[in-house]
Amino acid sequence: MTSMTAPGTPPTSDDPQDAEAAAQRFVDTFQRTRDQIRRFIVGQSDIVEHVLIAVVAGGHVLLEGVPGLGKTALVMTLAKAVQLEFRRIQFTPDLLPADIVGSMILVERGGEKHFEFQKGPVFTNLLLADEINRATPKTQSALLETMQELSVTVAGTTNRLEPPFFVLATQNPVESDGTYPLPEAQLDRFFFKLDVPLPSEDELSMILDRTGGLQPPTIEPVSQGADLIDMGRTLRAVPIDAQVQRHLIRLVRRTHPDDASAPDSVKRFVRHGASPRAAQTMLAAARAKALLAGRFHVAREDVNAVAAPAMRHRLILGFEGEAEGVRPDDLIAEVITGLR
Amino acid sequence: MTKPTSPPDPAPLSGANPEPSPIDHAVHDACRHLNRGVVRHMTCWSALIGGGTAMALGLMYAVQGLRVPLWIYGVSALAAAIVFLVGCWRRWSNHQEAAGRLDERFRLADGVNAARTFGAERREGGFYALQKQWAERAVSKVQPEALRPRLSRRLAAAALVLPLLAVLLGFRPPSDAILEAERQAAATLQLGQELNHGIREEVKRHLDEAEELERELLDPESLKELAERLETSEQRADLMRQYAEMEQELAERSLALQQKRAERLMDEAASRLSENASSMALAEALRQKRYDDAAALLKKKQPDPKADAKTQRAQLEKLKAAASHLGQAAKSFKASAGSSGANPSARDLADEMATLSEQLDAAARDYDNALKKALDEANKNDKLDDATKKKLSDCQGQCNASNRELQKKLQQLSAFRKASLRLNQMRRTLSQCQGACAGQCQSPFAQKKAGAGSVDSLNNQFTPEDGQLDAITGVKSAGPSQTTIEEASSGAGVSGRRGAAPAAEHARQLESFVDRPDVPESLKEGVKTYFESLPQTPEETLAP
Repeated sequence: MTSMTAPGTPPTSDDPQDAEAAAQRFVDTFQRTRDQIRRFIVGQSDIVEHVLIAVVAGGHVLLEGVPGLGKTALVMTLAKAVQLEFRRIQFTPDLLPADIVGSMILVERGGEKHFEFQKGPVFTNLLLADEINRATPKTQSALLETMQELSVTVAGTTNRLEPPFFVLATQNPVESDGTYPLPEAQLDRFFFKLDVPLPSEDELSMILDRTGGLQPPTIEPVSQGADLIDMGRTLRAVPIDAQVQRHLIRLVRRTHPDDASAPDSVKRFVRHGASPRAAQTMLAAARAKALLAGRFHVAREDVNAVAAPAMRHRLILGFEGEAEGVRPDDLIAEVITGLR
Repeated sequence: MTKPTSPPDPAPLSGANPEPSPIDHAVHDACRHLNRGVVRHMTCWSALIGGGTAMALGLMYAVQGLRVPLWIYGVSALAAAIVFLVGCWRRWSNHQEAAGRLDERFRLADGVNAARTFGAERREGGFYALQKQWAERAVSKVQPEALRPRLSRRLAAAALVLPLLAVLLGFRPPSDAILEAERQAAATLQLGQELNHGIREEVKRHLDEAEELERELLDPESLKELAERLETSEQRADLMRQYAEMEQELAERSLALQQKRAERLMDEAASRLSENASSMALAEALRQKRYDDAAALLKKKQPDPKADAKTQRAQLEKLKAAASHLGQAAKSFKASAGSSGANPSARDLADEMATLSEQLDAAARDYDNALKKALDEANKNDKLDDATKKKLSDCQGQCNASNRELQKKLQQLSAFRKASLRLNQMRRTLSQCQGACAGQCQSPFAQKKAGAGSVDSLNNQFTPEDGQLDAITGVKSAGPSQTTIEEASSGAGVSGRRGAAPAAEHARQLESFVDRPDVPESLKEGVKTYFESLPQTPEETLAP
């Protein structure tokens, strides 16, 4: 993972020119990467943008959608565009934790036998956890622990993962037989949960045009892991006004049924609201949105725009909400509407 | 009604810089335009509400034909002022709110607010400087005057027209009926003042004219207080009510003087005295209720000590006869009063008169006997000894004293009568005042006008002598009748009128009576109590 271009001056400097340059690099890199991905992925611009935002913010993404929508293709294209080491794990019920994180194996070297750590596929930059809900909770938790700690501990030895490290997990919402839904605590570790929609007629036509030929589009690497880290640093320097931050906090608070300002629907259908991690997620994503919009400050509209992907998997519905098939996105929309 | 709290207004971005930054300038302009808009809006709304209030209240009067009172405009103006002030207070924008409105109106993505906040927090350099430049560029493209809220033409028109209509409503003259009612009210007010003044003057006149004894009986202070308590009013019913109450009070006082019973006693005495020729003058005086004259006549009957004994004895004879007749009359009256269950006070008066008469009779007899003895002694000795002289003197003194007592009683009766007469005269005046209030006659204190009616014609059923209503006796079949009477055999036909009909008729009369404003409350209560105590249904009447 060598750097294609030298990362710019960290935007922590008070020099406006440095800051402007860092912001410009952020936007340029982001747009270059997005354009590359769009060469292969048709439509789903929001999904692409949100995946990229999550990646530059250092978060993991859970992609949910029926098979064949291009989830895996998206991740693979991303890996190529950002020139990151990419691994894929197809989660199955018989997958063991050791199959992910690695295991100690007996190695004979120089006539002596000793245990050596055999790194699992998790030791990469970009990991595609395909159909993550098909693995047992034990296996899932092994991956999720790695996502949180960015390290793997086997036989008392801790092995750090090389940054950047991103997990893009997919799951199929239709098939429920033989699946193990992710627990709420583990869902919370995903930066975004993105619902991949069906392509429109025109988009489907374009997909066929692009992929049905002899020569599929080639993806050129346009950025590197260091760029992503640099973009992450730039993000953190984007200022947020106290009022906008208060808006963000109130948005999160209003998803809690015991909050006085929560809408009636939240009080009725939600068992637990979004966690503080959701607020952190929204702030980081909103900063990225602001920069992409050409601004140097976070606005309410940025916060509102990332509220749904950041909170939809963090709202735990109650029995009534589950029974009535309430969509978290609708509840979040109501929460936002009530704050305007 | 609390104003939403807003964060403290950040200091201008310029800080120590004397030149305001474009952001400050834009925010200041925005604030000014917003507040101008608020003033314009609230002016319209307050005019609308003030005009609406005035119209609503004014219409309430106008539909009744009344003149719209000025206080309505005061109240409406106050309401409008309150609406204006409260509205301005609630909607008045400070710079913070103006910055928010700039962001919202021109889609500046909270840039102005953020720039002001960062500036107030002295965050400079790096992204903060970029943000400030971004915000300055953004506000340089906006027109803050576009923030001024557009005034609805309908609202403005309504705010102009409604107060105008309300003012025009104020110029609308009241209806003829209302004008007439106002004239009536003013006339009633003036009439009340005149009548009250007249009543007070009459009370004062009566009290001035009254003798000492009468004045004591009349209780001048309370009478003056009664007169002073009278108030004028625009309502005739109120005036009538207070005059009726005062009249009732005077009637009660008159009744308390027991004049009627004393006069009956005196009539009895007059008839007894008329049997004796020597007492005819006294009897006539008593009959004519000239009790002062009667007392003077009684005094004349007192024997003259300078006259000779025979003359004195003759005078004493007349005095004894008068005393005896008075005593007999008193006893007779007492007996009849006792048998008829009369008031105990009437029996006391008769007792007193009988005692005084007997005392006078006994004193006159003693004096007569003493004179007779003295005459005999003078015939024998040509001279009266000291004991006889003393006896004569004592008897004379006793007789004179008894006579004086009787005279005093008669004078007292005279005072009672006069006081009662004065009260009745005042009652009559009050009755006339009620008549004047009811428009049936002129004011008793005003100059009588031709063709305006006469008080006397309606109030002559009051006899000034006793203050009671006379029973007006008509001549049967002598006057015109509204109904015809057909001869029929008793019990031969079937009555078409149910027994309940008269009861209902009486009930209506009762209700109309107790509803009359000029009937004193005490009488109403009495009538109500009486009728409520009556059986309500025929079944109750028939029940054993």
